[in-house]
Amino acid sequence: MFKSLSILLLSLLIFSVNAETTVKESSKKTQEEKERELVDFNSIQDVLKNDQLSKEIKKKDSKIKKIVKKRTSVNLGRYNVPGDDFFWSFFSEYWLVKNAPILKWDFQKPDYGVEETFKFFLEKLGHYEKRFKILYVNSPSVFHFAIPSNPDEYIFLISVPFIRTLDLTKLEISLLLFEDYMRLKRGFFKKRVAVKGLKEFIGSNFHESKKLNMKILKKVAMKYDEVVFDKGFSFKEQFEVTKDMGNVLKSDLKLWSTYYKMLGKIDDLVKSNILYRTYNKIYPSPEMQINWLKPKNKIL
Amino acid sequence: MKIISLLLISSFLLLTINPGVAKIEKKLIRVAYYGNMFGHIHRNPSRYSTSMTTVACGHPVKIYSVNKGTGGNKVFFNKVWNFVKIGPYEGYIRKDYLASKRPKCFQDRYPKFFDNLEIDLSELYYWGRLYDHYFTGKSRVR
Repeated sequence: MFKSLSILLLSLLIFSVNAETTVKESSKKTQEEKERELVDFNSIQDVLKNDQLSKEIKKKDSKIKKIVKKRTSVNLGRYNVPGDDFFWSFFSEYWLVKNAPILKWDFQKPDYGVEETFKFFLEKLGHYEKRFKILYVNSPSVFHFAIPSNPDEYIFLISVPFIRTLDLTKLEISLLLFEDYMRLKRGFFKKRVAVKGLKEFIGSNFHESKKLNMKILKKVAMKYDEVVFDKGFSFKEQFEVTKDMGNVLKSDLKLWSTYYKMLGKIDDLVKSNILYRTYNKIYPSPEMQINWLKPKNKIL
Repeated sequence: MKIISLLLISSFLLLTINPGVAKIEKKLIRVAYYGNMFGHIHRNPSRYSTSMTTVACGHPVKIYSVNKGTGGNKVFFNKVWNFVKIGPYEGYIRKDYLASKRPKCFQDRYPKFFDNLEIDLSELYYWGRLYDHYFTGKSRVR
């Protein structure tokens, strides 16, 4: 009696487990698909013809095909790597998060109100519909920097110790940010962090391998570190940016002379303060920039 | 007797003058959705205020209006902050980080990519803090 009862219970348990798994599997399928699986229309083709239902079956089949196609593409899409329009914003923030202890941006700072000045500054120079995010860092290891974001969006880092040491005004900070903006617009940063295979990686799909190529992301992060903390930009790139700045600011002599004087202030700081000596490595060099900007005295 | 009456009067005055002691009435205005990758509910309406909890993009947030006192003295949470409730937590969140419709979040657009990054708890916290520390702007055509 007990044996038969236990067998009955066991079979019930097995049945329930089976039923659960089949429910789970079938829950992914639509009603149409389930119906299609239940009835084998091939065996009753003559009946269907007589009842003039073969057209209906074709309609149902095509509907099911569409559903399956859509589901496959949705499933495939889940393995997409963000394209160019989303990748840079995401990755720059990812890098900022990973480097939060080094950059020290999570601290209480005074509200400099630079965002308003910089907004007017961009508008004055005709750069409209540009979004920007300014992040103050409490570290002298980064002076001022722009990192890529979504199209028409820019992330700026600026060091509070650097601002304090130089006693920079809102306008001077805006000029520095604008210099970074020009540098980013010319694509120097993206060029410097572009590792082999990154172009193909952005906007790709990893459905087949099911594993994301983390090596490439780590390499890009390392390149970010290298550019921001160590190598910076070349003389050629700096020359192009300085020339651009000169051309843009020439129309407003007050802005031009503020920029010129500010470069002089930075040059003095770099030469006198050991903490800021690496500035020349990142942005070579304020002294050269002053020379490039200086109007040439042509002797006729 | 005099002392008791004086005490009663002073406590009554304190209750009416000091709105902090008076009863606070909260009224649900609407439900919004958090729009950034991650964020924080703050104890006070300040970007530097302590975090009560972390929220992810697309999380529904209940926005409340608060009435202090019986005189209908409505307290609006300025133009920057909203008083909100998420689960058991009550606090403040920046108004411009909330959307009326559920936003298309990065995590939803690229779920497998995001999962593979294996972002840990401290990074999640910092990511939320990042949006607190940004000073943002946009240049417009005048």
